Amino acid sequence: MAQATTQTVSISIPDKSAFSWKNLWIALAIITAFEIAVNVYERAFAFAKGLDYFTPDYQTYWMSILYTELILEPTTLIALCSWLWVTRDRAMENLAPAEELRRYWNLGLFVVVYTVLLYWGASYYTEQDGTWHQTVIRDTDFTPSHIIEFYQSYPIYIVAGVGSMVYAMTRLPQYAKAFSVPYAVLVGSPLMIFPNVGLNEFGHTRWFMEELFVAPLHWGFVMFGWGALAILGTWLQICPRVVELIKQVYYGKPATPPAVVLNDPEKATDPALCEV
Amino acid sequence: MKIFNCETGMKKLVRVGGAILLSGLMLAPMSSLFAVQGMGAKSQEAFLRMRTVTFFDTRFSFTPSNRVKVGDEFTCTGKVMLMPTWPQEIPFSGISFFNFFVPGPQVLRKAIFVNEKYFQFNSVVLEKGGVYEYKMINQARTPGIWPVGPMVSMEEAGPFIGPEEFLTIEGSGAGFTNPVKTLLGNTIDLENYGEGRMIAWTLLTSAIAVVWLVYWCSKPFTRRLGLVAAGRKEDLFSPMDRQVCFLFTIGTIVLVAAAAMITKAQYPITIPIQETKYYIKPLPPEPALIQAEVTDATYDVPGRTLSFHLQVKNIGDKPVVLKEFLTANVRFLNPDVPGNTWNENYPEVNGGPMRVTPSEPINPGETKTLEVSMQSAEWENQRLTMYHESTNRFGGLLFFTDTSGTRQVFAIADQIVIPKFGATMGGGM
Repeated sequence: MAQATTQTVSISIPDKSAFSWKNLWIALAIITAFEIAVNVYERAFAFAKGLDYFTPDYQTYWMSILYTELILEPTTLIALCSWLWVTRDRAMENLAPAEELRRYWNLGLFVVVYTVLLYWGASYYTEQDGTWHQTVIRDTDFTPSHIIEFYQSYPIYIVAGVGSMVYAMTRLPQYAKAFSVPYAVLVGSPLMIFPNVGLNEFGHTRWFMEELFVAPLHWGFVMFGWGALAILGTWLQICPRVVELIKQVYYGKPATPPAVVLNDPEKATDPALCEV
Repeated sequence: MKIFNCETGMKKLVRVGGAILLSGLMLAPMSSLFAVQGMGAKSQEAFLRMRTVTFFDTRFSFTPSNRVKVGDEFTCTGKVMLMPTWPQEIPFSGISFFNFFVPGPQVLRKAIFVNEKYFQFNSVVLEKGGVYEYKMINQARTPGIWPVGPMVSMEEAGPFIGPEEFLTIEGSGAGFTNPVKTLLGNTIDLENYGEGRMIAWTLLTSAIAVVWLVYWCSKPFTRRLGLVAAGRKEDLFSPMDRQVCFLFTIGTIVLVAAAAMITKAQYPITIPIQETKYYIKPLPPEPALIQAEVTDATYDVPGRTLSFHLQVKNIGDKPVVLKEFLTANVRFLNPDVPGNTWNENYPEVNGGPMRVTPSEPINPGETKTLEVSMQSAEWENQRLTMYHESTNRFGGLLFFTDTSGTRQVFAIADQIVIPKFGATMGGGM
């Protein structure tokens, strides 16, 4: 499909280091080390200090973690989003193609980190919670398993998801003025698992049900988890623009200027741009 | 002189560190360095614990030492009553499973008898108001200190737990075996039976999935979008792709079918998992000594005292006394009954004395109104304070005995409690 506009800015080929995996490996190493440390702590103190909420040990070993989480997580989210907003690109219409390409790369890495964190929260620790309920007695709001699963791992992936979306909205013309439905679902649907925790705890407190994973009270977790499939729609939106930029930067072909993408982002999602 | 190779050194460091970390992960739950606490039953609502399933006459064979060695067998015996008036808020299906609670598979459940019938795998159907006698035979498996005790899990309603003890399992779990003789006469060790086969199948099927993903993900993704846009979607699948799909489809079906046939040939005699539920009759009723009715009940909040009036008619031929009140695994004993003192081997919580006024026995044919009063910090410690909850009702078992030692258990199943907050706590009412 022929393009209606031509590129006028001078094109510079970015250095290879602009597309480095280094930051991703560092982030994944930190996440892995953190989650292993959490796991070791759980194995050491979940049964030993975490079975009776009404003991001083429980307050020391588990409630202190909960309170720390409740302070650190919203603080981190506010700090991250504030930083992304304060340092936003205020002249996106002049964005150089190489820089735009680099930002898409960063966004991709951000989403990979989000995905890994989502795995730890919605898969690993959620399955672990099922095991906890099969082993220990009835569900309560603040079990060691919940303090890690609900109040630690879920908010952490939410911080990463929302952070990645704010990154896209503050640095990429495609997302600066328009609202991406698939991206909102990708971030917002797993985010809704967290409010669903409130419903879950209310239900367990009121209905005294048998702790089954398939209980209707738990369906919300599954439904919102499926929202992560919107990653396919997100990539479908992103890929044409990325290919267009690659063709522009490395092969000198014309591309839609960022000012046009800014005002009509749908143009940048045309699969025809992926033609070779 | 040996030159230190930085890269090799780092690799060794990572390997050793990884091994230590993994060892820690594996050994942490087995460590007896960390003393355990109870199962946290008191985080459950008071009416849930007082008005559903009441355990009594519970005995553990390992008392008073509360110590066993890995491989030792021990028993837990006792009775449960399903309270005759079940709380409306909690579903009742009656389909229940007697179990022995412990955090994780630290002991093996070797056998369970309910009313002297053997049940290992099946659920039983219980009735409201019924009393059932159980015997659980267990075997110590993992060293450590564990809270243990009997429990009944009911379909839809969830678990109900009995009194607990802290059991110390000594020794090493390294050489532990769990031999079982099958119906064909051969002996297998359930600790590792089929483990190799399970791991092999997991690895094989995972490998198939990985190869499938790698095959498709290694193809250029964005270029394929372009082909779709250009109306050349048929180019997306090459003859090679079709052959690979065919190979995977047929290969997987053949693999599963062949594996099923090989397994069938290896194990020609199998029986399906048994799902039958057993209807089991409650124990026959105990001899009737009394007829009783609770007329009113109050809970004095500042004084931590539960009091109620009980109208009792002796319908037996011997004088009768009220000996004990048991609720939510807490026992209150009447100190006016000779010999009715606390035994440290009781697994329940000692609630303290139960004052009964008048304290004299009720003679045959006589009707008396007793004032029963239990002042105890355990109402708060065990969170049996009904004034915090949406259901201000309590339940429990009263134990009456006559002069010959005959006992009658009388259930208070659904009695409303009026809280008394006192002058300083009433909020101006």
